[in-house]
Amino acid sequence: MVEPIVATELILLLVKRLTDYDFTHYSLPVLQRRIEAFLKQNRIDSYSALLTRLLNGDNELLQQLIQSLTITYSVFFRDTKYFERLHYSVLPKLSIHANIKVWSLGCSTGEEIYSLACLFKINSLLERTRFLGTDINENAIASARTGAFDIERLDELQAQFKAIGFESSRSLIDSISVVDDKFSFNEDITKRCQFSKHNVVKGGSLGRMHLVSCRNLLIYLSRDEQIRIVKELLIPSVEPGGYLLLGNAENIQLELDMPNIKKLSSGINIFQVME
Amino acid sequence: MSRFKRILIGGSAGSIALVEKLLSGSPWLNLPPIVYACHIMDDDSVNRMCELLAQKLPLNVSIATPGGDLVKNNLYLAPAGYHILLEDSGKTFRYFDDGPFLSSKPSINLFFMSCCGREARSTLAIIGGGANSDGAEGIRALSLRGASCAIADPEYCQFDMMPRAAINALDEFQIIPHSSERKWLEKTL
Repeated sequence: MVEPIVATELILLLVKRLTDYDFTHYSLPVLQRRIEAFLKQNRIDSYSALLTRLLNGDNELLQQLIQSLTITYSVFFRDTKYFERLHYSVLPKLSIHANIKVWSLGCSTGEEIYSLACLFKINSLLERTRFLGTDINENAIASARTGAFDIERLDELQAQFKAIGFESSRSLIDSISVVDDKFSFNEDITKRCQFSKHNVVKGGSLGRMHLVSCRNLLIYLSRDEQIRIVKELLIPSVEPGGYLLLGNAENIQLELDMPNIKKLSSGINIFQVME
Repeated sequence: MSRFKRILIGGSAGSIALVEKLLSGSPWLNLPPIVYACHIMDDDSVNRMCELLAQKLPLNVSIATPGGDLVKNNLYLAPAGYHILLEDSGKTFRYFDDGPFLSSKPSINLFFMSCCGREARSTLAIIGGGANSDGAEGIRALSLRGASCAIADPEYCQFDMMPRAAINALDEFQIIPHSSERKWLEKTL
């Protein structure tokens, strides 16, 4: 019998061969557990049976497997230092624009987009901003579009909001409604937010944006691929004078070899693309 | 020259004392790189721990950076908010962003499991004190691939669930003798 970890590697290689999706840089033990859950959920007896069905061209199963493998972990106001910096330094600069465009890549179920929208609302910029969230996972996108989250996540949202240093949570209360076991972002926010499928590895730019956020997505890719995506997709998608956010874990020192890129401060990966 | 090319330490509550006892004293020569994954969730706490250990220990102490190499005479701390993995056969760091793995983040299981290739044979894995069973599955996987494994003496751990779970998971291991941790490490290397 093939060891589960080896079978996992074989399945990932097959997925890579059959599709655009490359999960081979992900953590194998994590993916092994996801495949185990997938087998159980779909009542498939073994890894070999899954491999056989994929090899026999079961495309529907392949697409379901891809959705199960994609990581959708996300947090409201993640890394609060970013939001502090946006609030105090970046948004005042963006406020000169009549129409502001924001793009969050790898937006998962929408936590970052809605966090940004709340921040823009506090800064009275919501009404002139369009937020676009993209992700490879269609299920995550469908969930993001609803603007609704389990009520258990409300504590996280409130705690993170306070951690930014906002004394009053009044503006947050104005942004959400609680119904039964869910809370939803209000229509003034959801109507400004759009979500669509986009593959960061294969997809092109969606136009020039004033703020592009791609945090904790590139770490799943090889070093060369990370640099290619930053240079060929992310930077060209930023309006001159606009801003690019990379995650704390993305150790790419853009400012060293690109003279038109300025890092706002050490410790936080917020870059300004100079005019 | 040590047969080990890396030392991996996992722990949670109370394990920092073990790290101090293992490494403090006279300066080290040719110490394999050490990576310490501790269950700490916020950046400030990891930064404080890094400063504290840098003051107390006779070796370089820093937070592991993605893509960074493991270098001798260095102690690396896992970052907060991410899982830490080793790649390139245990030579470089990688961050992995996902929810908790078996209720832990950074997950010691994932950290250890990322070093289970041929590099396991040149790895010394250590489990310190802690209040859950994270690490047991990972150290077992490492042991099966030929790593040497050692556990803090649970009798002297403030929180003994983690070392006891690791002991239950392993067939072969050493118990690090209480009060002579540094001597034990020098001898083991």
